[in-house]
Amino acid sequence: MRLGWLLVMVACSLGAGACRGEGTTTAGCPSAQPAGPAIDEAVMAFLSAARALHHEADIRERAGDVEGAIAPLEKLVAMPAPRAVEVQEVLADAHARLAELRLERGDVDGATRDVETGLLAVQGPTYFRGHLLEVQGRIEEARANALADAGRREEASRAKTRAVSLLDEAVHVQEQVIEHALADAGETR
Amino acid sequence: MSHPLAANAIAGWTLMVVSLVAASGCGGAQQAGAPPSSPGPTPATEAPGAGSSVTTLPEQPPPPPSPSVTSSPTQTDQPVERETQRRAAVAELDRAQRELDAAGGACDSACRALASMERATSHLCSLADEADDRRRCDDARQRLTSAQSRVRSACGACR
Repeated sequence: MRLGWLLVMVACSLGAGACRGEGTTTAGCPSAQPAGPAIDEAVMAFLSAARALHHEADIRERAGDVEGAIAPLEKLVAMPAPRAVEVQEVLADAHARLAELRLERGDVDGATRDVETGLLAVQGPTYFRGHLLEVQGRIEEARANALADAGRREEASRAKTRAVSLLDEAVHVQEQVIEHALADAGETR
Repeated sequence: MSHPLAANAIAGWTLMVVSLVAASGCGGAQQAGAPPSSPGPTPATEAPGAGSSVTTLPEQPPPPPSPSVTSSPTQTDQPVERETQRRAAVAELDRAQRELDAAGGACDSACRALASMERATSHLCSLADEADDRRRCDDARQRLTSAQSRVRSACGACR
């Protein structure tokens, strides 16, 4: 029995080592580990480079260098991207992280561009789309606050309405993601 | 942490590992202890009361039951059967591994979606200062509570 658990632990640690965990998210990793047929070498190379660039951004962000953390992520989204779902998800995730970093610096327009580009990469109810909608909602919230501070009440009100709609949509998308994930896991039992 | 989705796969995985170890480790012992599959020739006996030199073969024993009925295979069938068992165990191990991966991946996906849902709901509710927005906030909170409960019951606590 001990041997069984040991093997399970080894299998789990090998799986966990493949992607960089970051709190509740796993930046730089597609939604599912590639399983079954071998995945394309170009895709593997892209995913490996993406992990390295996210890691570089982590180090700079931890040191308080937000501008420095943006640079490797800009490099990531500018890389030639092979056509694969995993790649699209990694790009969407990188755009979401870029948007959050730009928002932190007060660059609302730059954050908006990133999130809009990211949304072009992912369709349907996926975590990545839900996360981008959540970030877009927070961007509109920041915009509403800035406009209200500037005394532009009507524009602030419109931005707030957009924020509420986007956040509501994010809640619905993530709810579907959870339903699908748990249903899929149940089917494999 | 209780992890019902993964627990089933882990149990299957462990069972298969144990089966594989047992299948490979016990084969020799089974072979050594197995009774001879075809008994050696029985010496011929004289027909009772014949008094002659004519010998007759003893009454033929009934044919041994087929391997599918009996649990003691013949010497030539044993390696084949062990190989079949080993292959079945490996296939089962693969299936259990896939289930384990799927369960772990599903819970990771559900947990990160839940975290995003929590953040979105929190921001949505902080903006809800009108009746319609408050209704959306209440609806989002209900959905969040329901999702938290589903994820907790299927995956345990999220990391």
